[in-house]
Amino acid sequence: MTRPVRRVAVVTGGAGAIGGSVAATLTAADHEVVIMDRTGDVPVDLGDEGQVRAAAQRVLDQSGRCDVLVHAAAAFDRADLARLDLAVWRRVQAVNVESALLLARAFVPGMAARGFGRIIFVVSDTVWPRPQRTCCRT
Amino acid sequence: MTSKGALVALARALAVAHGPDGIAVTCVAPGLTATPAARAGMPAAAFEAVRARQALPRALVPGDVAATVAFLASDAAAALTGQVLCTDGGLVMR
Repeated sequence: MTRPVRRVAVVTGGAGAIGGSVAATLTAADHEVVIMDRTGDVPVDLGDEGQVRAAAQRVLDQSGRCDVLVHAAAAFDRADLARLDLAVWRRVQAVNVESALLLARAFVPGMAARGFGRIIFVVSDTVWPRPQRTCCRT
Repeated sequence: MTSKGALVALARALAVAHGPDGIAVTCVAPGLTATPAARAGMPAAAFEAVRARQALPRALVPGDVAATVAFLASDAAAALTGQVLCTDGGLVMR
C-alpha cells in the first residue's frame, strides 16, 4: 500500500535479533526505518538521558518526523532482593523505561499535530501475566 | 522484569492521554523467543521445556514479534490501543 508520505519508524534495539526483525518487517511494509541502538543509524546509549534526547532530535532533523516508535531495546539483569545492586537497577530502568518515556515525549507532539502516531513497546510475558490469565480463564 | 511491568503501565497511561490525538500505544509481550541472547542465557533443555508447555509448541522466532509489531503499526490496527498482545504460543494460559 502506498501512502502520500512514507511513515518514519524509529526502532530502538534494532541491532538485536527481535529489533532487527522488526526493522526488516517495517521496511518491507513501506516504512522509512531508523535504527536507534548502540550501533545503528542513530548510535545511542539508551541509558544516558542526554544521549537519548540528542538522538531523538537527530531523528527529527534527519527524517523530519517519527510516526511509529517501536521500543525493542532492553537491558537485562536479574537479582534477588538481598543482592540487588541499586546502580544496576537504575541502569535497567533507564534503558528499558526512561528512554521510552523520553522518546515518547520527543515524538508525541509531532504525532499529535499530524493526528497519527503508533507507539509499541516490546515487553515480556515471562513475569507479568496474571491479569491475562484471569481474563483467559473466565 | 519489573521494568517491563512499568512499560505496560506507561503504555496504558499514554494511550489514555493521547488517544484523542490519534496516537495508539500498545505492547507486544513475547514468550521465550529463540534469539542468540536467549539461547545463550539458559540451557537448551530448559529452553525446550518452556516450549513444550506452550499451547502451540512450536519454537518462537523474532519474526513472530515483528509480524505483530507490523500489524500494530498498520492501519489494520486502528481500533487497538492500551493492549498487550502476547506472542507466546499460548504459554500465558498454562
